[in-house]
Amino acid sequence: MSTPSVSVNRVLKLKSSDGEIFEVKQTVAVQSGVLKQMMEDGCTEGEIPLNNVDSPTLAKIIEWCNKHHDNDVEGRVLSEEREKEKEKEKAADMKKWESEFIDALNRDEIYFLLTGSNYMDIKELLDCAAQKVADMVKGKTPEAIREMFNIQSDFTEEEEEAIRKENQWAFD
Amino acid sequence: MSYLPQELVEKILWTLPVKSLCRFKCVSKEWLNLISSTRFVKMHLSRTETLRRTRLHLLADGMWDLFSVDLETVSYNDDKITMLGLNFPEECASITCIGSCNGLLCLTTGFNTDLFVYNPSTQECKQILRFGGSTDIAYLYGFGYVESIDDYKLVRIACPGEIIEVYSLGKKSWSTIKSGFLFPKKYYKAGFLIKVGLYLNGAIHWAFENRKGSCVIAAFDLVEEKFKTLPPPENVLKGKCKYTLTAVGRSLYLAADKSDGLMQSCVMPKYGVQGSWEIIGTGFHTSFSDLRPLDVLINNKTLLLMTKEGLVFADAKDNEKIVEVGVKYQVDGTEHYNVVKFGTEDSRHNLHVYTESLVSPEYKSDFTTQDIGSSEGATKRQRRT
Repeated sequence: MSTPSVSVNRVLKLKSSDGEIFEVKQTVAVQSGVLKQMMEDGCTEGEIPLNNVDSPTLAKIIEWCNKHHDNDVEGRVLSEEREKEKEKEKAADMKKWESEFIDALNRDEIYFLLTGSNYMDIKELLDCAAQKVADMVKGKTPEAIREMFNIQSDFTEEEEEAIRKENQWAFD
Repeated sequence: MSYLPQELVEKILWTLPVKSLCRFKCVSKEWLNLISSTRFVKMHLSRTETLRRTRLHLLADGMWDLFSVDLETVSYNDDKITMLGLNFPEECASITCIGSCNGLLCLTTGFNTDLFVYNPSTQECKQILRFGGSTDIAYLYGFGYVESIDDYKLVRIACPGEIIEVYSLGKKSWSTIKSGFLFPKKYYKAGFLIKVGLYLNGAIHWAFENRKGSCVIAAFDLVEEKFKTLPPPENVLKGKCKYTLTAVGRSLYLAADKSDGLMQSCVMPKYGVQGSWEIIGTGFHTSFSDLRPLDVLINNKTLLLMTKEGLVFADAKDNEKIVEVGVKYQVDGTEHYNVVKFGTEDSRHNLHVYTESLVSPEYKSDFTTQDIGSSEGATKRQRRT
């Protein structure tokens, strides 16, 4: 397959579910598997509708992609002169930025970021958001989990009692 | 938050520790089926393996219970490690660990006649042998997982080695194999009644000195169920030597311990390739002889070593220090603490490493689930209605 025709100065117009238009450099947009595929197929003319992502979420997603793109570009130019130590520092800075970025979000924002990054196929962001949710649920009870994810228990009382008994130690 | 599609639920759950997952089996049938599925259990295990240096536990055996400690809570600055009881469900006087793989431990109680497969993270336990074998025979053991046949196998060899018993966890059955391979009798007598082989690359390995005084590395292939030998390092120490095998990552390590105190340490980075053997150290190492790395790095810096003196921490700068290991337990409501000696010639206690996993001792291999695929589908549907 030929390499995708990505040019530095060209931008994509992304349209959120609530109709807002966001302009994103093609070089940034390649982080999304879905947009990358569209560029390769040459169907990015005009507005690209993202029906599952609202504007606050899309803004957050673009902020993430811009940050990671800047980091990549700088890294590539300087990598030859840089010592390994500095590379490490850079990675640590990025980790710090990522955790601050994710910690500033409330539950609903994280939920939309999770589904949005999944829809747009942005692996790193998806992993980061999933890890955040995992940290949030780790110590919770099944009841709290049901409430959080809006799940109805479909066990009979006896069934639930049996499973609970089998895993009683996990509740201590 | 609201409802999440299953692929996202999976993505969140596969990073969680086993304890949370066992609790979350009560959330709904969908979550229970997901967490119990073979596919998820494997995903979770491979995730834990990529984390590699976390969710590892140190296990102490040779007592009435198994004791363990989460290695994340241990650091080089510690002077002692306190291990807590796992409350092994079977009553016994002494438990010995004869193999550890993917979170499953193979255990023997009652002087080799009773065997168990136990997952300490989920507390599931399965007895695979009751009153089998003889109490006055020395056995060699090995336990490992083979991906190509998706099965766990336990190997048990009675002195001097021609009869080999193999237990398949997936098939839930024992088979007996006759091999022409003989171990030297003195190999069985050395040290303990039990000798545990090293699992690596689909085979169980033992290293010993043959009658001519040369080093032999025997490997029992778990797929073919046959013995083969690996070439030892060309210039390895010979004559009145004790050989010890370990694996760090995917590389095989061989330690040669000569009776005069000289010792040598070698590594084979390319499995089975004699030319890849490298001698990484030779010297007199009287105090720290019989070094046995436990394949553990805490915070990527500290290596745990078993020696005749006990457990040793070694840091990146080769500083070594002995760490006290003790077990804490309760009797009639009173707390007790005992210091335990490991690795010494006369000690029955040993240290092992295991990973946290969801793998069940009631193992359903892909191979067996395919066979009964249709009936399993039926039970699932039944549960939903």
